[in-house]
Amino acid sequence: MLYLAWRNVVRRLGQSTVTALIIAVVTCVVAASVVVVVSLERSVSLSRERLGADVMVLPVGASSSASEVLFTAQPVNVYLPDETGSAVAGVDGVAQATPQFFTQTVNESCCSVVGVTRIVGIDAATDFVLKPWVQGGGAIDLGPDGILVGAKAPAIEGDQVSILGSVFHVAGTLEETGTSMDETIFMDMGAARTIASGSPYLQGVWDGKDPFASVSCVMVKAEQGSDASQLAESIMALCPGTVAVVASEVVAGASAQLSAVEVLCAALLGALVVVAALALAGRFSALVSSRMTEWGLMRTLGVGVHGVLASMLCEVALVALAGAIVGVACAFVAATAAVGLLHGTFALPGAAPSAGAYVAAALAGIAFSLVLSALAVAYPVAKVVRSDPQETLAKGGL
Amino acid sequence: MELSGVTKMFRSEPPVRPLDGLDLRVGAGEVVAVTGVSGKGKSTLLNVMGGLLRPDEGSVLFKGEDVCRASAGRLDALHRQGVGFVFQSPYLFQALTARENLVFARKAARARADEERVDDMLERFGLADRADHLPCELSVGQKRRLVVVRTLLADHEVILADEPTNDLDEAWSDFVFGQFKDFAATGGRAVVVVTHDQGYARLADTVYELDGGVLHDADARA
Repeated sequence: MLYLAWRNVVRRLGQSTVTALIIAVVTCVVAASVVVVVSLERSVSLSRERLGADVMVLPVGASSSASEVLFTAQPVNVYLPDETGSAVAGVDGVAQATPQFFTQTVNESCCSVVGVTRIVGIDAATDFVLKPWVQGGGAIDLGPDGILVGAKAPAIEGDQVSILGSVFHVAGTLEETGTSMDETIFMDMGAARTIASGSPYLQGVWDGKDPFASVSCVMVKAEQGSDASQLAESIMALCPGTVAVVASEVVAGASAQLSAVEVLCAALLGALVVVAALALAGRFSALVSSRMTEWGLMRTLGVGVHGVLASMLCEVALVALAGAIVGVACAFVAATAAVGLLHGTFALPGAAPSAGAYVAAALAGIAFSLVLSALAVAYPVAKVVRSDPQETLAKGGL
Repeated sequence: MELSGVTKMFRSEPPVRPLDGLDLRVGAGEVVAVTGVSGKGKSTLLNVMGGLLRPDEGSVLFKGEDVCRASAGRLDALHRQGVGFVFQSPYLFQALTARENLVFARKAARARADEERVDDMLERFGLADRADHLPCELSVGQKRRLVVVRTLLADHEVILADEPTNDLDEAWSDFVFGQFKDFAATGGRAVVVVTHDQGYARLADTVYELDGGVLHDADARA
């Protein structure tokens, strides 16, 4: 039966190809959608987990940078007075507050690092942001020349690196976060300020400001049970010149945007599935009509209904499987491009789906196509199976 | 094989009753020819005899078993071993070559492929050089010979052949009819041939004319 089905598929290559292409498109869209949705959900989840800050304090006018800082951990060159850190820490409802100081990106031209790497200063004494991500756990002990490197930061030989003329040693490595933290080097606030003060790239930023008396942002953890929105209001009232952004609101905003994308994807997917199902039903109906004589002949040769059914389903399965495999291959290319585009557009952490997610999407796409094909072929096949052999032969001859 | 009081009606407008209380007995080793004008129900008779159509009344006994009341599984077994067909149209699997069509039919009958015998039959029926050709590359006469070979290879006990010499020249018609005579003479088998060719009908052991839904002795009518 398999041989006959295979020969039928090959002999009617044009018809088989058109049917397989329809299935390929459906599989591609389903598998790519699964990958994109998994990726987006993972991004939002990662954003919620990220850093554990409930509120971020930034200079007034920098709130638009909140999603960059929160979702991608992308340093931006905004600065606040140094005392903001202690002022924020003193606000009622604040459990922990830690400042960060963003400097600049560095590369091989100035430093012994490979590729582009960002430099961020932290206060190890108050930090609650990086601590959960340090490999092996434990306290952060940077000292004046220690650095923490992101999971994907360039390899550093001999645990030492030269950055803008100063030598630092690697004090620890962070777990992968899926954000630009992975390509960042963290150092003591003082060392970061020294680098920033001498940086030609940042000279324009220091007009009237002292880098040694500045921080870029203050990350705040609220006391348990306190309202983050009210806390943000209190911080802004008590610390003029700052804007306090509630992390959960930013995440919620992005989630809402992503939900809209997901709803749109689902609607398009639904419409496509209906159109594809109708197209496949038409294709398979034509296939059954063209094969009626052969199936009637099989019955007169003594092949039972189950054998005829097996032959039909083999033929459909071969075409569906070929289309599904092509569709899955296309889905990986499309999904990778779509995930990159969405992450860039929504400033999300680059949480690439795992290999497992790709495999699951491939299996889902193939299973969906096979089920859809089976449904599309069910009615015409049922008609043939219920017919007498002579009736099938006669209809096939029409 | 014995048919008793077989009636078959098609509920068209007006209704058509091609078989109306028809009786027939086909004995072992016999070649029976059924003649008659077109549209009188000769093909319907063969379909009823082979269990492809169920009659409205009457019975069709094959080795004592009523074909009309057989289950689907029993009918499949009947078609594999008991009754084979040569249809008026030379039905073939279009994606398989001539040889593959024959081997597939053997396998469908759950018989050994026996490719040596297949090739021998292709040779005898003048199809050896067409063995690897698809049906669309064969002439109508070659297709006709191929379906006859397919039926003979299946080693059924009864062959029901509907106009088997259509599209064949005189030499091949003689040859095919001779093969049916040999088939019937071997091991107590039988052949029922529907034909409009009176010349070939005369070669059969018994000749009937189908008219008014029943069979008449053609010799007596003549």
